Amino acid sequence: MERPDLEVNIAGIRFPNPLLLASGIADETGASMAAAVKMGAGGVVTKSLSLERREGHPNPCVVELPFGMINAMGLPNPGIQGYGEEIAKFRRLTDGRAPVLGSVFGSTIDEYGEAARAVSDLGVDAVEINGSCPNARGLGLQFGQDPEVIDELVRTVRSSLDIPVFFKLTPATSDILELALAAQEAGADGLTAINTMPAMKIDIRTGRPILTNITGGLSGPAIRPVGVRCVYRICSSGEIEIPVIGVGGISNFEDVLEYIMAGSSAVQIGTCISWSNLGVFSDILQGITCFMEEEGYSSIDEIRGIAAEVVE
Amino acid sequence: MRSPGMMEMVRVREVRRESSAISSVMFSSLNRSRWNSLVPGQFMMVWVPGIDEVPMSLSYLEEDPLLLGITVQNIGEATQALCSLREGDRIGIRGPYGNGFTLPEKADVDRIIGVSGGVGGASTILPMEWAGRNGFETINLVGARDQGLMLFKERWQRNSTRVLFSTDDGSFGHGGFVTELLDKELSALTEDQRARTIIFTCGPEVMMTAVLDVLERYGVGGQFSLERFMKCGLGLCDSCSMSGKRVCMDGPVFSLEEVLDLEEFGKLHRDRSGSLIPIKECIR
Repeated sequence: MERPDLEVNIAGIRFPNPLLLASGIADETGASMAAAVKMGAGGVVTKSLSLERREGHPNPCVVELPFGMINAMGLPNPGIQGYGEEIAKFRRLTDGRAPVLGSVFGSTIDEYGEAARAVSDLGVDAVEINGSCPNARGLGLQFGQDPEVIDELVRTVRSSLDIPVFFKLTPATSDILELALAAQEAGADGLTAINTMPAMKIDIRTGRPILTNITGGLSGPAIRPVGVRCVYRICSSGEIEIPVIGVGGISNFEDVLEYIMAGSSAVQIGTCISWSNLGVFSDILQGITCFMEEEGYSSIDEIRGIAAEVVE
Repeated sequence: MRSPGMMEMVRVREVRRESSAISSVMFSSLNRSRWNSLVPGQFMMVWVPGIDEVPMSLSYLEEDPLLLGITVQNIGEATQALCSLREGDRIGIRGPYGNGFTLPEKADVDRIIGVSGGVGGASTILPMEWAGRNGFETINLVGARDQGLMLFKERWQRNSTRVLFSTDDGSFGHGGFVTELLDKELSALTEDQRARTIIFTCGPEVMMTAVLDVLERYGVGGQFSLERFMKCGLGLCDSCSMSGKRVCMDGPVFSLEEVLDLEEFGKLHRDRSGSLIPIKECIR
């Protein structure tokens, strides 16, 4: 029997496999992103970049919990211009083997547009609009919870670019499908679901919220069932035609398959790197390959969305 | 999934004044299992509520009753806050994180030379004591700017096979740099002895750059404990990124061979935004 084909094509971009490094994880430098590709990642998403450099929030920025973590980094980044060399370095080190998505944010819709153009000029393969970061006041989440604002935001970014545009969705909403529809109507070429969930942790000895930012975003295994349900809600609706990249709490190949069966075309991996390190990419690839061989699947496309088909 | 490094709030038991600008914050912990698997050279994230959270090496690990300590030089807001803690104050501890030093095989190595500069001694003291307890000959070369900044004098003397001190101004021990002591030690060894010697080092990066040069000259191996600005400590945020390695997860201890591949070593570090900036060091 032939080896199963793990390649996926999303919005016209070819990825050697469906495992992407999530935004904000081990992506400060071209060399760190290349290290993920070396371990098997089929693509990477840069940390979220803005026009101006940002220092982010003072520490503590993370809290570890039994089934995940809460972070409030506060979108630190050297600014898009300061990041150009990192993209170039990533290209040099990976020799074009894996696509890179540039994640962007701004404090106004126009800033998002400008940031997307600037990051596109760095030579990324696609832009991911971070319209749902819960960690920085005035940046992110307030754009991503309102379908009308999503419409304007995606149109602005879409109109000035000739590369695919992905919109990253928040789970902090009453119906994620409405947000997905708004992004699709406005011309998004793909969706990423889900961002972290707004959350907080209080130290009972001092009565003080641990994060300097008070609240942050919950990630890790705790949010995986939420993410799977969000992807299923979007993909099984029959109303969304653009591809979805699933993200939230993935730590092994079973988790990846769940997201793909819910309907996503690829996935992003992040928090589990804190305990599995980058070797998680090669482990998952091996797991998926064995699974596909055992179950008789020859491509990822054959698995995508089967949960909805079974229910019918 | 590994057991998470959940934060434990602990009470400060004692603050020990180590030298004019260096103090050790001693605390206990109810979470014993956290310390049982500790590898000397790993670090903790230490939270001073309302101020900051910073990476710190463990410099004391006393058993029965369990007493732990971190050693801090007062150089900024967070370290000032740590130095002014009093008995009974609360701090948050998470970790340990990172890899720690690795003891070599006894069949290959007889002698470990510790090269410590300034408050870097807080990261080498437990590993060097551990090496001694495991039967290695331990020679400690301990440098500081002046006598007032010299750390753990009695403890080094008590727990080393041999110890030599140096101060930049000559106020205590050898007058000059600690790397001059290293050069002298290595030159006194035969080729065979050098092949059975390795170095554990931590200190200002200019010092460790000089250590690297000496080691390369003599063909002696080493392990370097490095420091970068850190946010998560968990290998995720990449704020401590150094030539593609994460100091918090791939380090903080790197072998000489790994250090040679770190183009930024001794030259560049990243600020809070992740921008690369030249290293400016005043403490040696």
